[in-house]
Amino acid sequence: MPKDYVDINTYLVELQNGNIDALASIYLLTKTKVFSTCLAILKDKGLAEDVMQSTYIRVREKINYYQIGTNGYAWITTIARNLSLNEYNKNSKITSTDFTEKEYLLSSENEASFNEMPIFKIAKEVLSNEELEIVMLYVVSGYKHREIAKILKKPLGTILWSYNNSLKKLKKAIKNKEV
Amino acid sequence: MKKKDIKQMLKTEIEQNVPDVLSKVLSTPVKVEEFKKETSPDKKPYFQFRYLYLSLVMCAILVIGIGFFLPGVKSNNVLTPDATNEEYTITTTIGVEDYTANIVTSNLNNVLSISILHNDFVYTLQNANNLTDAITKVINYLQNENALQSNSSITLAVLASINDKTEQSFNEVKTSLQNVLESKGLIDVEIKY
Repeated sequence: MPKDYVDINTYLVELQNGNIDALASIYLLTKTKVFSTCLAILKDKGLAEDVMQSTYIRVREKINYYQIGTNGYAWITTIARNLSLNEYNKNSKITSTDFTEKEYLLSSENEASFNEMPIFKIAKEVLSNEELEIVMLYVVSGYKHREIAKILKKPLGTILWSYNNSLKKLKKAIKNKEV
Repeated sequence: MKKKDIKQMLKTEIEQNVPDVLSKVLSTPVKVEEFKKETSPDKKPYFQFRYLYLSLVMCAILVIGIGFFLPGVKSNNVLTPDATNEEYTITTTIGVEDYTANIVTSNLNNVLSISILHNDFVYTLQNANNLTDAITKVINYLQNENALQSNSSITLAVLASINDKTEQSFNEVKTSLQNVLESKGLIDVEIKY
């Protein structure tokens, strides 16, 4: 088992035993993975931040359900993914009739947050939801293709093909923007 | 720009934008849930019985299916059912004076055709349910033609497409013919083989 996995396991066991300080270590080890997972699904920095917070609260609540020896990263990522999907589904059912609110969401804060992340902005425009999730899980979260296949419950071949295809699309889109 | 650079840039920009939510998480009061097994004890038998019922239904369907398609258990098999799955044809020839009746059956009891040859003419009789029925029809025809009387002589020949079956089939046909003749009161008829 990789050293990182052993560390996260140790901290999760400590948290199970009631040591709340272990949460800070878990947070430091997983914050990028959790944020990228939420961002890939929600495509909104503000929402991703809220869900990220909910994820760690859920980790604290459900820590006794964690099975010692299993992949702690995958357990936390799955929580983040499920919460993000719930949030995404909830938001997709809401249609805003307030045009000023819509304009605000589209233009000001949201737009500004994506100006800080130009590559992600292009990625969310050119890639499908699933493709973006695969790229984020591989590139940012550092999961292996095999692990992504397990998290997304897809065949390994599909993940590999989708990942390579996504990078080609992204490369082409960035090239076009530069021109 | 290379793929490697794109990946690195994407990773860096996400890492730089990760919000800090730890203080909020730590300040939120949380009630840690006690671990409970997902399945309650009263649910377990339900699942076990459900699969048991399903298995029983499947078995019943399988048994009915096999029974339906098995050869030799059809309702029209009045004589000895054929225990083997081997298919063969039997040609039974009944000769009375210048009448020659041919009954062709598949596996003894499945009658394929009944024909009577007389004076270079061939008469085809309506099909029968089984061999006994076919023999009865032939005897009726011969009686109507006044070819068969109580003192007549019948020549019987049986030929099966599988040699091993000839003797067994002959005995079956002979018994059947004798039964038909007795039922019609033609007890003095001589059967030649």
